[in-house]
Amino acid sequence: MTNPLRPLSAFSQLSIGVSRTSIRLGSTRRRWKRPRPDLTGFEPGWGEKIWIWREMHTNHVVYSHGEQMKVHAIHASKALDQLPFIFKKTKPSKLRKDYWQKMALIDFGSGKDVVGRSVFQKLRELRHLHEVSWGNEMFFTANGQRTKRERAWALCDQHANTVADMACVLSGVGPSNKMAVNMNEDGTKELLPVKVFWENDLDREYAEEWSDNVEHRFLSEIEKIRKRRDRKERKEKKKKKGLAGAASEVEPEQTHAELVV
Amino acid sequence: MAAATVVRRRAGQLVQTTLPNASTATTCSTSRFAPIASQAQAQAPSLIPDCPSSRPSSSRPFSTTPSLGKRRVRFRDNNPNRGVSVLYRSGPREPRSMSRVDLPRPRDVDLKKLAAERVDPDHGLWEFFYDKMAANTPAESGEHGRSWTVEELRAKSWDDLHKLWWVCCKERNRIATAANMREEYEMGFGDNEGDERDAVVLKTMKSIKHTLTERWYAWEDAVKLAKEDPEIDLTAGEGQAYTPRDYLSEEEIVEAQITAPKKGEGTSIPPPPPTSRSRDVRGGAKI
Repeated sequence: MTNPLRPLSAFSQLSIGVSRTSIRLGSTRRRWKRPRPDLTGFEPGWGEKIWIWREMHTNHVVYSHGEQMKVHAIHASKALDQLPFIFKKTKPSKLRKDYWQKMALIDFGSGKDVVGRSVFQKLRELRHLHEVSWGNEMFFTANGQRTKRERAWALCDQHANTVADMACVLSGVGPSNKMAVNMNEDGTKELLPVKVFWENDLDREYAEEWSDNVEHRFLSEIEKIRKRRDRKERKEKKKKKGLAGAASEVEPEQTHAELVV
Repeated sequence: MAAATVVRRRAGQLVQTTLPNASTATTCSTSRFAPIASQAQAQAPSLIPDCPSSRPSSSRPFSTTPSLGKRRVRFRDNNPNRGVSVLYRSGPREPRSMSRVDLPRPRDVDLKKLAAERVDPDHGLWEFFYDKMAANTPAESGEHGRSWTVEELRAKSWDDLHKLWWVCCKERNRIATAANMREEYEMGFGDNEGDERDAVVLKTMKSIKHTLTERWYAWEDAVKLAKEDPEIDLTAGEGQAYTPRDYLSEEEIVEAQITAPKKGEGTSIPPPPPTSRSRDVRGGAKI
């Protein structure tokens, strides 16, 4: 009896077509994560503004989409994560409200949150590059050579670098920079108009050049607008209260009338 | 007791070496386990005193299961920043999207110098501040004298009072500016001293008004008297109103009464110098 499973000849053992041996025993999982912006769960409008905070003494700079500097517990870690450890004591252990002040605000306008988030990423990348690949001039001062500790504190100071970065990113430089809304026929980029509100107007002098799409204003303007708005709201509340008070005065009469009836 | 046998590979042969102080009776180095042990020791030096099989350990006893006997190596330490140093300029761990862009460098400018160049040090608006500072210290704003009294001011001329009024206005503006600054920067001190200083200035200004009011009434009374006084001619030119007479005859008196114009006819009494009654002090001081 011949075995039915046995091949008829050695010829059939040759691998023709899709050979079994060619199947690679590897993982079929994707090596990289496909970005899913729809799953990020950002609140609507998250990214329309970038607030830039500066530490008064060390000139640490931190970016934030929210206006408030959250100093407590877990929220603070978001800001603290932006500050690298450089040397002993250079990284603050906590954020002190009285040391941090607003330096600038970039306003992209309503509905431009995607652009804001893109710019935020670019700014963070440039910051990291500034920190991690600096020039030889960092070794020296006008008076002589810096010690390691002095160099560390000098690296904490990202005030001027931040302004230069802002001018660079807002002019649409960099791959997939969403500041560039469109490409013109002559090959230039059409840029999104943005407003930059400065606490100190002189800060913008740190940048070599600002593109035309950037409008410079003062942060104090925003405060004034808000104060005006608050005053209006308060007045309206008072008016409503007055009306409510008048209504409450009327009410007892009505109840009295009801009793009489 | 754990095994004290070390197996090492030499020229493709498996050789068992028994350490001198270990007893051979309790060894596990049978030929069956030898290849497994050699696998574990393949990368190690020839004699390792603390290899798992030779070390008496209670936490990790000898196991014949190959997966447990294998040396554990953690390839990832969950530190995304391993090897990245700011201080030593390590560069980024992996290229970023902005890596190919020329890193923007800031201009080398001194902002303090720039600020000094832009602002005129002699600008008139600086008078709203004390020594170009946002606000005085409480001690500084506490250093002031008393206000002018009415008695002192009665002796002063119109021009003096006018000057003093505007000095007070400027001082009040400075005080108000400092108060505003204190509020804006949330300094939390100096309001009390500022208010005291303001009260003193206000008192001087009230005294000035008091003096001028007194003068006004005195002038009104004087005009009334002058109208009745035959020696004074209010219609005459400047400096000629008063003509003193030693005596008058009755005829002359009668003539004078007849020729004197009736009340309200042709009398043009020059009004007194205007008193400053502007209540808007801040608005008035913008020079």
